[in-house]
Amino acid sequence: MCKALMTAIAIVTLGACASVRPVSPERLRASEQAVQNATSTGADRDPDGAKYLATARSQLAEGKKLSGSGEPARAEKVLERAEVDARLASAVARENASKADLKQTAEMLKQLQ
Amino acid sequence: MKTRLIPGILLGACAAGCVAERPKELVDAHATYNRVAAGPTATVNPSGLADAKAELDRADKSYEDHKYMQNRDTDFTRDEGYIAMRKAQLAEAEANAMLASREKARLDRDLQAALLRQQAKPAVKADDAAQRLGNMGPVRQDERGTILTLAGSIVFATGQYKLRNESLPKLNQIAVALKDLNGRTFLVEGYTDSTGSDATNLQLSKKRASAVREYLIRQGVPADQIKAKGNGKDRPVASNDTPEGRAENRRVEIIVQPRPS
Repeated sequence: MCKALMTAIAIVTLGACASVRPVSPERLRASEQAVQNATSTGADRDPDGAKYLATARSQLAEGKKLSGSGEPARAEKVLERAEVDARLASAVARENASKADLKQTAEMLKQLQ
Repeated sequence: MKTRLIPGILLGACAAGCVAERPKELVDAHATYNRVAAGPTATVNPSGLADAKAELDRADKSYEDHKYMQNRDTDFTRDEGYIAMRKAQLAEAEANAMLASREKARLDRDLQAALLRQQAKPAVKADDAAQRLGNMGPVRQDERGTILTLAGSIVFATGQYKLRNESLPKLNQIAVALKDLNGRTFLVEGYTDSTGSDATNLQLSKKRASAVREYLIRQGVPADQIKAKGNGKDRPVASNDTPEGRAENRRVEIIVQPRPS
């Protein structure tokens, strides 16, 4: 009787633990890394980059919150959104910088011709 | 796409409310993907586009699998649609950056050729520093002297301080002009944009200014007449809030200092 009760308690406890299981560390790390990369490469300095990076940061925070409140499946998706937003922030900033460099070279060439 | 929609529309008509509507994120993702796939990204960045397609297929499957469920949670389909759209935009931005870099590399070659042609022309003898240097790029005057500005992107690769080969013909010309200016002193100043830490910027601008100074000395400019200085992000010449402005701020200035009075 006592043993059965203990088992029941153990199962309930385990079940409760499972429901607050956080997201996988890899998922969290990938999203954090993408935001960090975009920040350190200066995506914030680009108006388009800054917009996507702001969204990425708020989704990273939202994903962490969901992960802590027992919604790991949904948290994974929100964190994935954060990662793609951060990667887009970096890519767009790079795109705009490359275009600006190109424009500058074209102008210099024009001056010489 | 159309063939999938038709049964959806029919079912919707037969039993209104039974079929979940395609979420806006998924509709947007399809529109973005189709636009990107029709452009140069398909040839320039096929792997990025394939990533976006795989994500879009996943989102479509998520929608198809759940559309008949009552009170279903649409968040996942929305998330997958959102991610698919972002991946299509990502593929496009990467492709555009690649295209711009390729085009710049092509123009750099033209630039080098144009500079070599200019170098071959007989030099105009003139004492005036502004006139001599004015043939080589934008020149301005302030209390520091006559200032010739060299675009950072032409002299150096991003984040580096080794001189790019493309810039050497121009620096050779500048060295000839400076050597002709007997008795004058010169200052090479490096500048960066405001991206990144002050310490890194200062260090990079110093190394860049020194690299230009050393090259000019190797071309015969007397070492005791030329100094180098790094100024980091100071004295911006344009706004650091736009990519064009930041490109203008990444620069090296060669200053012909006023004659001591």
